[in-house]
Amino acid sequence: MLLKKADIILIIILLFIALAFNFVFLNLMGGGGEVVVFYNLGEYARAPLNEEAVIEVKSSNGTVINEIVIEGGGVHMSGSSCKDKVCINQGHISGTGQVITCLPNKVVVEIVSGGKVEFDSIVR
Amino acid sequence: MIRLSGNRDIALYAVFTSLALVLSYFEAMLPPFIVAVPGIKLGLANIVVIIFLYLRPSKYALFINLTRILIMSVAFSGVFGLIYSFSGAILSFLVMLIFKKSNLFGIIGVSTVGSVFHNIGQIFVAAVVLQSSKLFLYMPVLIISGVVSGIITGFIAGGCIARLKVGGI
Repeated sequence: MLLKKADIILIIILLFIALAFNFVFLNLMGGGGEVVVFYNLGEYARAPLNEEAVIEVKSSNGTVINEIVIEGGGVHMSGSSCKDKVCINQGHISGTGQVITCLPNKVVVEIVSGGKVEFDSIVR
Repeated sequence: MIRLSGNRDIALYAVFTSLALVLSYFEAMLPPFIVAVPGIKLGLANIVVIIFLYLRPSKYALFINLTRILIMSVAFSGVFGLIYSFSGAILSFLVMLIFKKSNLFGIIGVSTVGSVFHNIGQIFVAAVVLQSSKLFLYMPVLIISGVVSGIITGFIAGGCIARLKVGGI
């Protein structure tokens, strides 16, 4: 007997388990990303991606030049003292490796993965 | 211990062990299906294991698979992966045996749990060896790929078993 009714039920259950695992693990372990803010080529601030926060970048004379908002698992630039506002128009980013740049103010916001991912060719 | 009953049986196990070896070697030569996701494989050698599970006393199925893994790792893939493959093979065999003995499931069902638990066994050992629970993030991918490859290999094994029975093996 090649395929019985129980087989089809089994396959559906396995697929559901896979989806459930996916959901649980993404909630438990995911969101490990971090937002890194660079100002003037140096690291200025670092914050976890999954907690809402507002980061203000201040220039050397104390005035706030950029305002960065972390919310909903992503980050966007909400305010900037520069003229062209390209950084604000870059919108909301949430993927690892994505970058928002404000060139006039020398501010770069980057999303990096927080935990080190340890997959390699051993898993075969 | 494994006790073979005659020349015919010895020849039969040798031929099927070589078949399993050729299948894994062939599979190792195939380009990866999805390059970004390592670890996904068809598990063609499982076809031979399932054939023996159904046509011979089941311990020979395990015996053939362990022999295959030993020779494959010594000859091609390196002894380092041996512990992963062995644990995957043993867990997969035990689960397939239980499912087969229950008489509830067809060959495709047995083959599917076999593939899935081969992957799960490897993940567990890898998580212990590498001390990293992050590997379990990989579980959904491996379960789904196990289901797909299990259906394919089960289908092929079912066809082979029907024909081999006619041939009187």
